Amino acid sequence: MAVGLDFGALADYVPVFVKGVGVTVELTVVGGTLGISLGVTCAWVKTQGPKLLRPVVSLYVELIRNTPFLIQLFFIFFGLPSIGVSMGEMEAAILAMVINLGAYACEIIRAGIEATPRGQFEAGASLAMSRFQTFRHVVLRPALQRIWPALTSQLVIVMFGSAVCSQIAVEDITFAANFIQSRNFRAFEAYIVATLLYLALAILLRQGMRLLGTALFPRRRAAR
Amino acid sequence: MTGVSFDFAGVLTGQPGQWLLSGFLMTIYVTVVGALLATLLAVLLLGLRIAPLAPARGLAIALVELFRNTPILVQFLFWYFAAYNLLPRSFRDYITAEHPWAVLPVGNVLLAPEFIAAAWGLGVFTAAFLAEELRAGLNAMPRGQKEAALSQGFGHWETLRFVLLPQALANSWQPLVTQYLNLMKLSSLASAISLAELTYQVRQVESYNAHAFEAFAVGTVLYLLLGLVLGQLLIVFGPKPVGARARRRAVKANRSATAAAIVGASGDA
Repeated sequence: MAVGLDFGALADYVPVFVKGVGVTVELTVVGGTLGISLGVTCAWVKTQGPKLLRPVVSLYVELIRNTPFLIQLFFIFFGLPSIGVSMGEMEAAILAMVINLGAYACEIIRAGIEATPRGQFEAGASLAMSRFQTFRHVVLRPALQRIWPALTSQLVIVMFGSAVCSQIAVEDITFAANFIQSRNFRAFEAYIVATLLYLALAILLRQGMRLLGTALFPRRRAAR
Repeated sequence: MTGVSFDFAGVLTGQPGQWLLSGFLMTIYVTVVGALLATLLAVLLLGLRIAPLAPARGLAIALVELFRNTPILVQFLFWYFAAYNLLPRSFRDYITAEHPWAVLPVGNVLLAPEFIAAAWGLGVFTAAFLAEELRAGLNAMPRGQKEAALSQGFGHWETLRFVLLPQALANSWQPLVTQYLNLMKLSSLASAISLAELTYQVRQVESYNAHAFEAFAVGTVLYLLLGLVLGQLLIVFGPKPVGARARRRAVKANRSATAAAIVGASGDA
């Protein structure tokens, strides 16, 4: 067999890759947004919320962070139907990503909240804000700003994790590459293109998060 | 829908039980081999990364960034479907030939393309992370350590070998353990290149007797258990911080540290 790269062999499959990129972006954006929201909620429960719920959140976080994402995804897609909860592959993929990111984001955001100086809470209280109002208007935004780089990295990890969803036939970039190499046996070319696409998406995602960060946190916080 | 009832015996005994045991062992094998490979490659990468030669450093940076910035699943698929076929024909024939001595209990075959691609993929991916953690540990070392060693007549290599690296290893042991545990969790993705490890066998049980919920519950518990044991072993037998003060601090932090290391800081992608 002559060894040589022939990217022309992929020309017919450009639409497959385009669709794959669309699905990966959709998974990342929807899963990322909902996952971070879940993470904020859990972080609130663990730091300010009802004491009764805290062990529940801890259990959830530990369980998710100590098991592989693939097992979680399979549990949702193959396991839940046997107790009467079934869903399509896209829904299962997004649910798994949200649950997974929620646990990791919870710990990251909690670290940001716990780094808040006591004076901030006291200032909120002295302005007659309720605990929730203080959290919402005083604590959360600086906390997010503090951990924004860590959250960005986690989001990139989740974007790479979305490749795993190809295992339940979600038609993302990895699925596209698998599909193409099983059709024309151009494994090298297909996976190199997939790798480059993920690299490009990772760079875009990091830049996007940086821009979002500057929009969300316009002023540099005064040094304490 | 009929009432929901669980049948764990249908998963833990007979043929399904046999499969799960075999998968569990396979996960341990690929984790151990992958971790050894990762450690070796990480040392090589670190050497390149801190070499006094710009092209070597550039190469190390490029490799680390490449492996850290692409999904490991795609890396597995690349190694298995693409790169493996570039190996010499005779070598591949040797691998696929039957070797009775390479068959472990419960029928696990380690000398197979799937195992080699999985262990190699895990090793290369994790090495990139290990090398970065080690470099961070080296960079965190006070300058005085190096200067003290040089003033005692240590050469550059001896300074690194006897003074800087041991301390860097001890200081960055927690994040390193996290990476090893991450490797264990990521081995589940090798099921995509049909390595018959735990996740693969759980799916096989599920399609065999449709006990999906029970099978995945058992799989989850086994991964939890393995992570707990592995994390504890690595912490107990791992290097301890150098110096009495650092050791006291470590003992004090140990209660939460063990848990933190087991939990890990980064995700599985």
